[in-house]
Amino acid sequence: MSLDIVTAAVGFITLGVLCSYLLARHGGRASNNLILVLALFAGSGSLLATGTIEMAGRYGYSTLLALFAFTMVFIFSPLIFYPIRRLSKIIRFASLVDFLTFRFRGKTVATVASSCLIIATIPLFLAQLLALESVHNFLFDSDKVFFWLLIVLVITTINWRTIEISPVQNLRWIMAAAGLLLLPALGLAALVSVQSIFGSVGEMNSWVVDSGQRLIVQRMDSSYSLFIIFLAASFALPVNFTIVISEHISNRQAGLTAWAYPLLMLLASLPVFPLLWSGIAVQSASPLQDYLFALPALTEHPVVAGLGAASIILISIALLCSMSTMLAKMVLNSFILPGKQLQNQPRLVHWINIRLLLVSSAILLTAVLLSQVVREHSITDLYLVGFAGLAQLTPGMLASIYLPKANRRGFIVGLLGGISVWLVGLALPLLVGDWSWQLPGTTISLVFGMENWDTWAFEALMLNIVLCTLFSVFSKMDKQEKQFARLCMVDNIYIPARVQLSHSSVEEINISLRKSLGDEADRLIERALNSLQLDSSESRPAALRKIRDHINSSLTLRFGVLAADRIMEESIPLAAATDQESDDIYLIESVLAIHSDRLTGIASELNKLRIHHREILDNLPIGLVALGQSGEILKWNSTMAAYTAIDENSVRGALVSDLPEPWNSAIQKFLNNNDSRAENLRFELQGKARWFNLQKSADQSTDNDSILLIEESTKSVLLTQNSINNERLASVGRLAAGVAHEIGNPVTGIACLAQNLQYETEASEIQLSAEQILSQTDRINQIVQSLINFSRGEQSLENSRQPVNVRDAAVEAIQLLSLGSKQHEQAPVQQFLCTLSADLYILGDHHQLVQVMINLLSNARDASAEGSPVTIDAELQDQQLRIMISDSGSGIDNDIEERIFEPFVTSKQPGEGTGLGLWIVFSLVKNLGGEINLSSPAINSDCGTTVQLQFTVHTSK
Amino acid sequence: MLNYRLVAVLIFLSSVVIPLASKWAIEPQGSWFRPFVVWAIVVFAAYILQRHRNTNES
Repeated sequence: MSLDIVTAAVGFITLGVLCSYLLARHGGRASNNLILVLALFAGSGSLLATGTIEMAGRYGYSTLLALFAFTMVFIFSPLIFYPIRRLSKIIRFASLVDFLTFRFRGKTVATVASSCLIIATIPLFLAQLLALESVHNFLFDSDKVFFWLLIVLVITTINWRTIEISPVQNLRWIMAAAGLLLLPALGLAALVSVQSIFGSVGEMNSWVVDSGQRLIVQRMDSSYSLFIIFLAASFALPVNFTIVISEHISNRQAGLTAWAYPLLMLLASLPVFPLLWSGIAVQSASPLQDYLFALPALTEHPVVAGLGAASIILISIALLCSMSTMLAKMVLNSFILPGKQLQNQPRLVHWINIRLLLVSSAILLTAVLLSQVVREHSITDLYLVGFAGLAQLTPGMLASIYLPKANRRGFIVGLLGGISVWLVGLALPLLVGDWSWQLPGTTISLVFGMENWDTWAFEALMLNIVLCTLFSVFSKMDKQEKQFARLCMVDNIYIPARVQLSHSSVEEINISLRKSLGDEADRLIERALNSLQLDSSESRPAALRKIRDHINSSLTLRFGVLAADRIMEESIPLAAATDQESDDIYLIESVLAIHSDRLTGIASELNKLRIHHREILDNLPIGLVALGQSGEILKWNSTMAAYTAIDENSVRGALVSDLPEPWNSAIQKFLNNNDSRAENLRFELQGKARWFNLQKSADQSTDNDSILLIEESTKSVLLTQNSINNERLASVGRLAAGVAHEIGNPVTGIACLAQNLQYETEASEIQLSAEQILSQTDRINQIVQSLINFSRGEQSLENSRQPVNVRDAAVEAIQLLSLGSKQHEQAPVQQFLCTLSADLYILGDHHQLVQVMINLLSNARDASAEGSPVTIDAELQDQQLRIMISDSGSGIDNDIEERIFEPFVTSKQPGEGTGLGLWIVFSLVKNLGGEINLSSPAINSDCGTTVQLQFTVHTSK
Repeated sequence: MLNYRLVAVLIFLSSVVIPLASKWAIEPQGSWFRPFVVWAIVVFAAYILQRHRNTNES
């Protein structure tokens, strides 16, 4: 029989571990969720496998109430774990002690809390070891030394693998394997026992009524004590805290625990009473805590007995592994790392791992030795004592998130008081046996031990609460304590202050951190950058603060609060006092955006108002920049982003000096000025000139943030320039009208004289000269008429249009240019290559077309090198005549190309051109009903310019 | 922000539901598994609340 049970147990252990491993490694989200809940379920250890049956026999239905209370921590986790989970997104806590140290501050807190937690957990260790021993005693008669050596070896091996590889995943699936076996073990054991002993469930029900067991189990004498102690212990149980807080499970997974964990506990509790009654009915000689395997064995079900034994072995070993590594981490974080210079350790991770293994092994060996002393006590006793001890941590934990006035002194004194009563009243009697003490001078005798366990458990808890309250009320908190107390409050939203760092780049932080952590600093910074999706060249103060916070969080998780604080102070200290700086606007905004669903009542209304104001700022038609005291950019609205083409996210949190040019120097210069306003500052943005008005808030004292308003004034400046140009043009027009009037009379005289000369001589040369004089005076008259028209506002010549030969106009322009300026006097006429056909006509005015040609050809000639050809050709397409005048000169600058037809725009040297030539051409071409375009460089060339004139061709000449 | 609704539920449970449920669960004439029925109802309520919370968050 025993061999069958052993074989079955070994088989089930292998099967459970294998199933859990496969689920954890290859399963999807549902498998991970199942692993998580099973691991939590197994976190109560051998209590469910052994202790509850004995508790059911001892306390009846009160046991159910106790187990239900144990699950309430998850049902009401929004009130207890969620606030800490929210905080743990900023600061990662490896254990409850780390959280308490963070809240109450100081090495004393860490020392007292971790010492108390370790002492309170020892009975739970002993309970697991006793459960293992009871299985051993049932299955084997061999020497227990070998058994204990085997157990220690197995646990040490698992611990080493866990510490070396991944504490989270390894322990979770091993614990889940235990949970996976326990549920079917309890169910099957109850089923086969009831079936074999009673025949059926109905028979059992009848027996329960007939034997009076129903009345016995319905007693509730210890219900209240059990309820309170189990509820309080569940808050501080290391496994619960580690899985729900430290391992950073998702919100959805945390929500899952609220119903899945109580459901598993319910399923595990259901078989407890049938097993108990089966054992009582059959009058089993085995202790109640052994019923899980003893009853199936008694009823000749070795496989079920093996399953029961396997579940007890696996669940005890899993919890021993889990608790020993957790406590080792606590010891390391509270006692060893705070005073250790970590930079001297070349292989820091390995060094820490070795110490974790040594401490966990030491704790385990101590527990094994102690288990040899307390073997007279049942597993239930050990659990009750352990839970009463753990409950001492709960007042401090609850006070941390609900009572801002609870302080360090109150916590320490309360915890020490409570744990002292617990030690004297419950823990020590486990070792030395129950004892009594008669109060001197009275007949009152105090009995210490399990006989009055509920009294001592309550008194310890009450003393803890009373001392914590009194010392918190009558002692003062320092500034740091108040700050962290506020931070841990249930309704607090953590917003890091806008502190000043003493480092200005990631590289500087790395160098500094290496002095404290050695090579580990590189890995920490790399992880922080990857997690925050930042670049190593980051220098924005806000980004550096985020990196600092991330590093602090990682250090807290790995080395505990004390060591992390020391390393941060040594490596990445703050340049200015924290309270000198206000909170980051954008951080508040982002945090409020995340937590907006938690806002109710007036807070929700205020949040709506905040969003409204934010939208107003964002949608302001002028640029707005909010600057912190250190010149850090806090707000960069959408108009500013449009002006600068700089996204708000990329510039928020940066210094003004980090801005790209020209904004950097312009804004800095303006901020350093005493003037509160600067008007029409010219900026070259993407090759275009734009003008902006800058205005800053009047109060520029160092205590306040400053506001900078930037408004684009380009349109206004251009309008002003246009107005000035128009005024100049009006002056030119008035001048032209005057000149035209004055020139008209002498020109008429010259024309008359030339006509006379033409009629009075027969010499052909003189007649030719006279003809040319008449032609020129005619042209002067046309120019004068144009000037008069210009001065009158460009009246249309629509009615006076006549067919004009394009080639004649071009040839005349070339001839006139040949008579032009002295500098081109010697230039050959052949410089202009005219390939226009003689039959091309347009409707218009001959003289205006000649004027257009003269202006364009003279520009082309001026831009070209001496002797360089200027070509005039045309193409006809769909009744559209395109005349192209191309040169191979210097071309037109990009910056004036778009404005080339505006008046007074010229690329010539001052004094050489008025800037009116192309403007007149543009006006005349429009007057002639045509279009003009410029291409620089010239068409089919890499230099020069082509001017294209497009007219509708005239066909009926 | 304190979760007032949860606190209200807690007060209601502790002052009304739990005493009534306890009384019903341990009636001498009742079945032995009545406490488990109460527990199962609590689990179901927790499941419904949690599902409601998930729906709100998603």
